Amino acid sequence: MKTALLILTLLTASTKPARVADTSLALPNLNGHALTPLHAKGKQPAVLFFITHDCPVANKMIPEMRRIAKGFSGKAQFTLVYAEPELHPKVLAKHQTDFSLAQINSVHDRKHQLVRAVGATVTPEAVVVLANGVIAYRGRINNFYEDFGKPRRVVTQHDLRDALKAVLAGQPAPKPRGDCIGCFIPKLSGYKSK
Amino acid sequence: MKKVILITTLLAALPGRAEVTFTKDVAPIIFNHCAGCHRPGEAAPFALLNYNDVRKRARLIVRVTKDRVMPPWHAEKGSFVFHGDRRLTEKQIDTLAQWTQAGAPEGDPAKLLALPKFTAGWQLGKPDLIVKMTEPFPVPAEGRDIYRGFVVPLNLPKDKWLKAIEFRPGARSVVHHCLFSYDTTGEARRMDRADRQPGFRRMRRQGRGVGSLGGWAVGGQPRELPDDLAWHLPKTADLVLSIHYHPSGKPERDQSSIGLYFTDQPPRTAFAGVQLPPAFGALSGVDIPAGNKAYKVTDSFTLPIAVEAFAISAHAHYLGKHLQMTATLPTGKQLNLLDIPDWDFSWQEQYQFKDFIKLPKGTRLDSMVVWDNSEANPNNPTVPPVRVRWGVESKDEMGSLTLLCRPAPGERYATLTTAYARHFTEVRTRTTREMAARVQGTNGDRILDAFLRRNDRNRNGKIDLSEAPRWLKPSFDRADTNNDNALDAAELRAARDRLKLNR
Repeated sequence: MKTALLILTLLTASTKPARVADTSLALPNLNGHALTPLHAKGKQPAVLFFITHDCPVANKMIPEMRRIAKGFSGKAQFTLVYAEPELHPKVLAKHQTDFSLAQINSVHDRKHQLVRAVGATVTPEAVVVLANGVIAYRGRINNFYEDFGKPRRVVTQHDLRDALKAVLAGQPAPKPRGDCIGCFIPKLSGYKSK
Repeated sequence: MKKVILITTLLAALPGRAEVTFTKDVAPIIFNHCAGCHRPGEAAPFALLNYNDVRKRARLIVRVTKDRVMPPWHAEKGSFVFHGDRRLTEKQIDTLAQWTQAGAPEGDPAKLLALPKFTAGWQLGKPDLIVKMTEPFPVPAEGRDIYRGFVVPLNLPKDKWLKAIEFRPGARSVVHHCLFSYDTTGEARRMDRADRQPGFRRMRRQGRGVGSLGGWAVGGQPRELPDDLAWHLPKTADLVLSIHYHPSGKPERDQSSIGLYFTDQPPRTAFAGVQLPPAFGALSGVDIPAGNKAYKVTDSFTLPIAVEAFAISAHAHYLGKHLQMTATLPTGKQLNLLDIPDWDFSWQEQYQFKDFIKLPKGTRLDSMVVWDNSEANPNNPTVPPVRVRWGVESKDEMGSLTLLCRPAPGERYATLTTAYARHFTEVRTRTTREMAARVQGTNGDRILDAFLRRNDRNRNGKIDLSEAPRWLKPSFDRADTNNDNALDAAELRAARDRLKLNR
C-alpha cells in the first residue's frame, strides 16, 4: 500500500519526480529530547515551519502558524524550525516566550540538516512531508505577503491549509499560488550566490 | 552555461575592474543609509552594523533595494530636493548587487569605515517640554493595522510658538507613524472619556480650534520649521496624536513620548497650507465604484500672490494609488512638487524642501489623486471590493495634497487665504452641481425603463406602434430610427436626449 501511494503521488504531483526526504533524521528539541521532525506517528503528514527569529515577515505570521497547528492538531505533526545556526539559545528562548510558542515542538537547525533535507530557502516557509518521505508541499503559508513591503489587508489564499486538506483527503497537494516572500536562508559556509 | 561563467570570471579578473568588497564599497552605503534604523533599540527588526550582519542578508538587501522597498522613500525624484531623502542611487543599488553576485567578499577589515556617530536620546537636544501618552495602549499580536487617537494635555502657562516636535515611540516594533495636531475645543478629551480603551478611534472635528502640527514616520528625523517659521500653540491646546500601529506577531504595549521645542521669537508671517482638493477631498464627491482600478480626482488653484513653499505632504487611505502635485509657472514651465506613484498608507511622510521654493503670483497648482479599488490592490481592506465613498474611517477614502507656504516678502497672507476660501466654495458648488446632474440622469433612465415595461404589452422588449400612447404617436416615426415599427430602449433614450437638447 505504501509503495502504491508513493507511485500514485509520484505520478500525480508533476512530471518531475517528487523529492523524498530521509524521515529518520533526528534532532533534539529545545529541551534536549530527540525528535524526528520529518516522521509523524502513523500515516500523519509532518509539517515544518522554517523561521528566523528576527525576520519580520515570519514573526507576523507566527499567530497563523499557531492557529494552523491547533486546527490540524491530531491530524498532522508540526515542528517550528529555527534556520539560523548562530542563534544564541537565550535569544531563541526569549523568542519562544515573546511569541507564545510553547505549544509547538521547536528545533534549532544548527547544521541546516532540515534545511537541506527538504530544500527550504526562505523564512517563513512551510513544508509538508508525507509518511513515506515524499515532500508533498513546499512554499508559502498564505498570500499575506505577495511582494516585499506589501502585506495584504485581507488574506484571500490559504495555500498551506489547502495543501494539508488535500493531503489528508489522500489527494495531491496543490502547488503554492505565489512565491514565498520573506528572509532568504543563507547557506552555512558563508554566502555563495546561486 | 559553463562558458558564461568562465567569461564572467575572466571579465571580473580584467585589470581596472576592481573587486567590490564590503569594507570598501558596501559598508559606506549600508552605514549611511540603513544603520540609522537597523541598530539595536531602533525600529528595524535586525541590525546591519558589521560584515556578518550584512553578509547574512545580502540577497534580501539586493532584492529590497532593487524593488526600492528599502530604504523606505515613496516620492519619485522631482524638481526639488527634500531634506532626509533616503533613496539610493542606481549606482549604489548596482554595487550591492555586484557584491552579492561576487560572493559577498569582506575586503580588508582594517580599512573598515567607522560607523556614523548616532545621537542617543532626543535628536534635537533637550526639549523645552516632554510629555507622554497618559497610559499605555495595548497592541495585539496580530490583526489589522490600528489607527488610534490619543489626547495629551499640555497645560501651557501661556500661548507658545512651536518650532519642532520630536516623537519617541514607546514600542518601536509596532509604532509605524504618528500625525500631530492640537485641539483647543475639548473634543479630543470628550472622545477619550467616551472610549473605554486608552485613546479613541478617530478625531472627527476639523476646522476652528484644531490644527495640524506635522508628523513622524519610521525612519524619519525630527526637523525644525525653517527660518523663523513656527506654529502658534494656544495655551488651552491639548496635543493630539494619531498613531498608526502595525501588529508585529507578539503583543506590545505602547506609551510614546513627545518632546516640544519652543521659540520666543514670533515669525515674521504666518504660513498656510494650500490643500488640493480641499478638506481632504470631502467636497469632491469621491465615490469609487467597486473594482475600479484608477478612479481619479483632480483640482487646480492659481496662486493670487507670490509664495515661498517649504514643505508638502499627501494623504489618502488604503485605496490611494497615485498622488501628485505640480506647479505651472506663468512662463509655462512645469515643476514636479511631489509625485508618489505607489502610495502606501503606512508611510505618511512630511516632505520638507531643502530650500524655500519661490512660486510667483499666477502659478497654477495642479493636484491629482488616483485610487485603486480593485481586488488586485493588496491594500484593499475589503475583498471582494465594495463601493467606497469619502469618510474619516479607514475603510472610507480621503485624498489630497497640501503645500505649506508663506507669502513672499511684501505679499499679504490674507490675499492667499481669501482666494483659497473662494476656491473651497467653488469646489463645493461644482461638485454639488455635478452630483445633481448625475442623480437626475440616473432617475431619468429609471423612469424611461418603467415607461417601456408599462407599455410593452406583448413583452417583446419594445413599444410597437399599436402600444404607443396617443401623445407619442405623432413623433413615433422620427424616434423609430431603424424603421422596424417599434421603439426599443436605445431609441427612446435617443429621442429623450434630442428633446432635452431642443429645450
